[in-house]
Amino acid sequence: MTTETVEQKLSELAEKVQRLPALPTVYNRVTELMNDPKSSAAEIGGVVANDQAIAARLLNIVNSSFYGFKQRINTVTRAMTMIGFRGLKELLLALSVLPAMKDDSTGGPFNGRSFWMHAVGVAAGARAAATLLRIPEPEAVFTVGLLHDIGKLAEYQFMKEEFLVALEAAHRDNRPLHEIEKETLGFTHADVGCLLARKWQFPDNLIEAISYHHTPALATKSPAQTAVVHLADIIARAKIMGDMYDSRVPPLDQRAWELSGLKRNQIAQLMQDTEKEFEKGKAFVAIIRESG
Amino acid sequence: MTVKRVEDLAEGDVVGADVVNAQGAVLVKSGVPLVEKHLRLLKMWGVEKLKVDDGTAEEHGGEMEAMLDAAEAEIKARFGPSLDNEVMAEILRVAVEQRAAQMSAKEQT
Repeated sequence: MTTETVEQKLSELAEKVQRLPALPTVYNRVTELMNDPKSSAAEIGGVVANDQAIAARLLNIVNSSFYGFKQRINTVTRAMTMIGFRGLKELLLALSVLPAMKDDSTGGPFNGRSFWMHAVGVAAGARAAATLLRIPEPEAVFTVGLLHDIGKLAEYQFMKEEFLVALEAAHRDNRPLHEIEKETLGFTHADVGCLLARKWQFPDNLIEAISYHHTPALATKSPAQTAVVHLADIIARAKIMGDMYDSRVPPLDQRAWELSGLKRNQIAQLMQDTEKEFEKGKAFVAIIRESG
Repeated sequence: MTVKRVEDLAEGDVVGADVVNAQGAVLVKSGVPLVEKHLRLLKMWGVEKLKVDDGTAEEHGGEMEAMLDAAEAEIKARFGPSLDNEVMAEILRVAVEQRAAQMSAKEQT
């Protein structure tokens, strides 16, 4: 495949991605307010509460086993106190993105349910690792894990035939999908995910984890978080969380392992914790997808 | 954990799982180190085999071993050639054990 062909394909794809609808106003408005030192918590809470559909889903999740709060939380302002500004922002992002992406396939090489089960597995692994490593706000890392493969959904939506052929080859040859994509398309789902993340103006840490989860050494702004997502992807696949057509466990980037700060004798604990987080994460995604 | 025939047991062997008679009454509880009286009791009740805790996590000989084999067959193929890395080898080992435990739990329910 020539460089010109790859560039043309990517540019066509970028145009299609640009035509996707913007994320709900509430996410962008809350992000703006959070960056404005003059804004107040009440103002942010008011913006969220005004979007009744998002506010209802947000309260459903905050009251689910995912957070495990003992008392019932009835208002957005109270939810914000409990999960923090950043937690709220990450949650709004997940609530905005998941319903916006088409994942209606139930059979064949690409299956929407398996896709999200794998995404929850990676999110669970990332949250478990963040907790084990005492990284603040592990819920934020959960969202990063949840959205890491979002480029596959864009490929499924905009270049279905080529994407399915690549998935078939990954399955047949038992090889990682990103290697096959690189050979046959000239780019990977991580590149396509990057286009999508930039279009929706995701935060830098999320753009990096989406773009570099198979090549974590390239991350410069948020290398530790990208390393954790890279590792969580390996663990979710080893634990068969989401039985996907491209089931091959990707190779470990040794530098990412060292950067994560994990020790070999913590692996069993991490994998056990991932299983518990997986159960909670499934409830999280079910609430978003069922009411989306 | 290992499985021993009653005639092969020795005093001091630690019982790995409750031993019950046909009516479900516990004859010797899990974790008890066997003494002469237990050995007599087990023979009297016609117990043939029991689990002995030998300090190893795996249970050799039996269903658990078959489940470990099945789990390894299912998971190892997904790893490809990256198993020469010690971290990946540990991830595989743990994944196999946890998968086998899941299979065992599912079978018991």
